[in-house]
Order: sequence, then structure tokens, then C-alpha cells
Amino acid sequence: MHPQRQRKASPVFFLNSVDRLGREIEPAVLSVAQEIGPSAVRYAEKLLGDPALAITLFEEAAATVSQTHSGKTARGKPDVKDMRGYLFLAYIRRVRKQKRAEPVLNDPKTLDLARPAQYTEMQAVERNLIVAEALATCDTVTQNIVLRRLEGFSWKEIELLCGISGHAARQRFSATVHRLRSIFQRRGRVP
Amino acid sequence: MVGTVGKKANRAGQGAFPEKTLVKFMKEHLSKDYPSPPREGCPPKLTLERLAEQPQQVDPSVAFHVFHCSPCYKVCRRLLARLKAKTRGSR
Repeated sequence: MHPQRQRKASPVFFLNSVDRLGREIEPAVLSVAQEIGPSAVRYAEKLLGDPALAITLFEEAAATVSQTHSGKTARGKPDVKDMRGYLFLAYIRRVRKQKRAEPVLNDPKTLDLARPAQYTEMQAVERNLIVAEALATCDTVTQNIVLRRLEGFSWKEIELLCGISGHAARQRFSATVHRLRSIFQRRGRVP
Repeated sequence: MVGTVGKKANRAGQGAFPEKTLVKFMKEHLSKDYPSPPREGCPPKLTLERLAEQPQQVDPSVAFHVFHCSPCYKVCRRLLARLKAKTRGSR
């Protein structure tokens, strides 16, 4: 009889409470960042190819969100409703900014040879980030609707499962698709 | 008449980005772009089953997780496909 395979313990994910620019990350934001950090950083790591940079940018995004959060509280404005989605969106935008700056920082001599391959790769990365950005703006109800609609559920079935009228579900899904389309059109790229 | 014109204008506005293509991108993105080999912090299958059947009774963090973890999304897809077949079969 074979002994049962032991599961490897995954490394614990810990964030600094201060980003590289010395800005503090509020405890409320830090706890959300700890929660979504592993998947978000793994995603960015795949795009950027550098785990250290991915985590640095995540800390930066968390610090920026902290500033926004405390600023809103100080001005008596309503708080961020969905901190997870907000932080993830801020992070995706930061990663995209970094990814766009990369070709400029590359060696110009090697750029000519690498250009066609790099362009295709950039297009795929850009598309990936655009979809991530559009989906990050969805609230929980819309996420549930999108999940079912992608699997071919009818609006009637979605109405019964999600407790929202078929018409409202359709509008929420259309808004998500429209958002995605408008980002693609703004970027002026054919996917 | 106005409705027909409106629909045509709407379709023209979609241009190179028809809904079908965008739906394909979303599916590809969710099922490929968030690898999680150690299945770190993933909810148990029972929670995913509940998300498929009674989404309103599940914590919002689970839906967020499924949107950012490709293995969990794939499990959820299978559960939803089974649920869809069951609902349509019972009609």
C-alpha cells in the first residue's frame, strides 16, 4: 500500500504595512489585501514575470486605496462599497501602467528583432488586462449573473436562481459586455 | 420601425466586438488566467455547490474568489452545467 501523498505547505502571504514610497496601508485595507493578495499577485506575476515587482505594485495599490479610503472618510463622503473589487481594480490599472512602460525601458537594439513577437504578446496581455478590469467592476449579484450566463443559462433560469428579475439580470449583463466593448474600442485594438 | 432601426444601429455599434467574441474572452480569461496550483485559500467543494445552487446564501467573498481562481471557476462551471442539465431534464 502506498503512503498518502503529503500536501506541501504553501508559503504564507504577508504584506508590508508600508509601501516602497513610505505610504501607510490602513488595517482595513491591509486585511482585504491579505485576503485577495495571493490570487491577485499570482495573476500579475504571470503578466509581469517578476514576483517581487508584482508584490511591490500590490503594496503600492493598497497604499493608494488607503489614501482614497481615509480621504473619503475625512471628507464625510460615502465609503467604498466593495473593497475587494476596488483594490483589485486599482491593482490591475497599476499593473497595466507598468506593463505599458516596459517596451520603452527595453534595450532599443533588441527591440527591432523582438518587435513582432513582442507586439503579439503585448496584445494578449492588454486583452487579458482589459477583461480583468471590466470584470473587476462587477458587484456580487452581477458576478453571479455573469457566471450563469456564460454557461448558457436562460434569463428565466437566472431569475429563479439569483432572485433578480430576468430583465434586470439582462441589463446588468449587457452593461458588463458594453463596458468591456467600450474599453476595447477606446484602446482602438482588434482583439 | 424605430425599434428595428435602433437594433440595426446597435448591431453596427458592436463592430469588431460582437457579444459572442466578448463572452469567449471572458470564459478564456476566467478559466486560464488565474492559475492556483496549491489551491491556496480555495473554498471547499460544498461551498461551491451552494454558490451554484443558492448564490444568495453564500458570502460575497466566494463569488469574488471564483472570479479570481481558475481551478475553482472550472469546478463551478461543471457544477453549473450539471445543475442546468438537472433543471432542464426535470421539466
